Amino acid sequence: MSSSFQHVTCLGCGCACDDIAVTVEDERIVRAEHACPLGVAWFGDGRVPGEIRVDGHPSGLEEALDGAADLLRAARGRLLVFLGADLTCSAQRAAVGIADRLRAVTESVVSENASAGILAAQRRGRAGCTLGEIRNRADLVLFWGTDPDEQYPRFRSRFTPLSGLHLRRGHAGRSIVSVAIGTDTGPAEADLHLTLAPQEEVAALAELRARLLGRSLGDPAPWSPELAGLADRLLRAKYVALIHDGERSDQQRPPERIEALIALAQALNGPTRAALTSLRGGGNRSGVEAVLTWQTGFPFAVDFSRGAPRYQPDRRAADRLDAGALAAALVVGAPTSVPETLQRGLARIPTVVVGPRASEAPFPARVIIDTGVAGIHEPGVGYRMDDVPLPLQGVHPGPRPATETLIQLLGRLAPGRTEVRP
Amino acid sequence: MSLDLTLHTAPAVPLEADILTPGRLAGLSALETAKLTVVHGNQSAELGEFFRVSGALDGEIHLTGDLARVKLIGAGMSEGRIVVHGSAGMHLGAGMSGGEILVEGDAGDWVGPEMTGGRIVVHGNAGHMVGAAYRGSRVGLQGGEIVIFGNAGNEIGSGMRRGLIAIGGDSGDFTGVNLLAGTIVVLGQLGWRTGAGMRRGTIVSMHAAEVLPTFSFACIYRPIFLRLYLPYLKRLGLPVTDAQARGSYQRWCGDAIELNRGEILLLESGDAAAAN
Repeated sequence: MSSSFQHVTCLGCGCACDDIAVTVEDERIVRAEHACPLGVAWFGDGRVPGEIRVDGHPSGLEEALDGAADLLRAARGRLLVFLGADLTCSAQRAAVGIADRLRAVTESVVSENASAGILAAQRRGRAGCTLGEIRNRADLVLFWGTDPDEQYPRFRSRFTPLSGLHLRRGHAGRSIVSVAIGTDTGPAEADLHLTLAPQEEVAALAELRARLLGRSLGDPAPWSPELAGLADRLLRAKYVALIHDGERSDQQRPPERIEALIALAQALNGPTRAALTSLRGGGNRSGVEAVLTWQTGFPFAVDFSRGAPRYQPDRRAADRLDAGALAAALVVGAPTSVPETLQRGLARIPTVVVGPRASEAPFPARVIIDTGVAGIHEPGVGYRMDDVPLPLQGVHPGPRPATETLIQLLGRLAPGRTEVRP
Repeated sequence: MSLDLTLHTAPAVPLEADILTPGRLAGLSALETAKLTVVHGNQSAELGEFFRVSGALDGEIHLTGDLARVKLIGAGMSEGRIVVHGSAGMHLGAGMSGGEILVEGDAGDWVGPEMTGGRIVVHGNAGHMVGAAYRGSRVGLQGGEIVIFGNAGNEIGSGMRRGLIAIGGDSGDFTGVNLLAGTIVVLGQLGWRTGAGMRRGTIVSMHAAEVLPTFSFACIYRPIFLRLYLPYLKRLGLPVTDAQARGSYQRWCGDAIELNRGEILLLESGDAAAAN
């Protein structure tokens, strides 16, 4: 038996392409039309494990949920709730409810680069836009140390094609500039190429900004003539889109680079218009920040230990684990999205994992409950990298939904059922 | 007679003891103080489970023991004095508006974040973010003084708007990053990228330092205000010499990508040699 689904949203990367046509035959996904290789791999054949294990032994759902609730309630010390990838916003919301009830600290699938970007935006604001705006208006697209073709294969064809609603067709309408930072190169077919060494990057951004603002500079650096040309080009554009990778790069970048990029976009918003876009990974990770913000007011690193949410972005879960400050952990979402530094720490404390492919977790866990993947098995809402919410469909039967499982766990942690803490 | 608290059981996980301020303990007996609630991990505990309490408060609290895992000591205090005979944990004197905290050992990260008045003196080293703005917030220290005799970590005085931070030893990277105004004096070496994004304010060092390209050299002069500031720091116990107070300094203006009204003052090398 074959069934097909139109306009399916793919969460393989942060582009969240919502034009995928999925065909399912005999409970297997056989085709994902329009999807890029990353998307095809993300959909797979739709089959995921559906195991439930307690202390390594197969178990029933009720028993596992009771075991998880007991383990989390019995922990003495601070608890960690990790919000991972591949969950719908409603599942994330239930997980935030669990963190609240457990008075836990939360950590989420937000990389060092992305969290530095959030903090910088909170400090000085941010000029951003939706990807549709880039598609239809940006006549100069500057790729800063990123070539989206690798990690975000359809980004350029969907959001920076040769024509847009308010642009002339062809190269006359839109020019592409690539700034390579060390080994992080930009698109090969750009109209202008610049190369900077990683240690020059922040200073070059500062110089570029000083040029845009018309401020005098001391000794000119060796890359100055090229930057002067770029500054001139930026000023002549009608709408500049600055694109950088908010997730990963070949090397760890200094956190001040993102603040410098934000400041550059802001400086451009006087003489012309500009917006900064951070490329973000898939699995609805932007949704984690959206849900935490609407539930608690803070986008990540929320601490519920005092009964009300507190923002503690300077104290991340990996540091707390290293300091021995955490007693137990609940990981919701795909366990492979847990950063490696955290995985090592989680191996030392009792852990519950509820999420897609939980049984394949790369760290030991006491209670494991496999759920479906958001957007493949579970319908709901997911966020694109530019914080635009998109509907997710369930195209494949798969195991139990994560939202339902987490709400059941939340119910077991209700005040009437738990021992009352002073 | 002062109120004495001696740590008898080291907390297994960090203890949040923001009740340890003279204002909150005023009028309480030693027994009542020991019954106060502190947050230990995800649970509430009584202060007496960790501290032996004796004496009565006369405006001064003495804390004894290794309190490196006790956070928020003196947070929000507005009067009185706290003396820590040992080390103090993170967020010491967070948001305090008055009074004095003296630490005989080291202090953790976040000494006096967003404080508005009073004085914190640390005889040992301090961690990162001394007198800084909390993450995501724009304004750090808004008044008062922080004096560290030893070294301090990165981002000292981040987003500071008013007040004085003095470091006897070296400071880490990004000293005075996003400085809005105020004065930072570092007697030792400065780390990388001092004053990045500063708008106004003064950063003084007694050693040569690499200055960001968006700073421009202005002049060499003898700042008159340092003849008042540095002897004041000497009275507080920092090893300041007369040659430093009267020396000539290079003045660098910046940060050009912000308001360009800030200054970094670096003691001239000839004067630096005389000062040592």
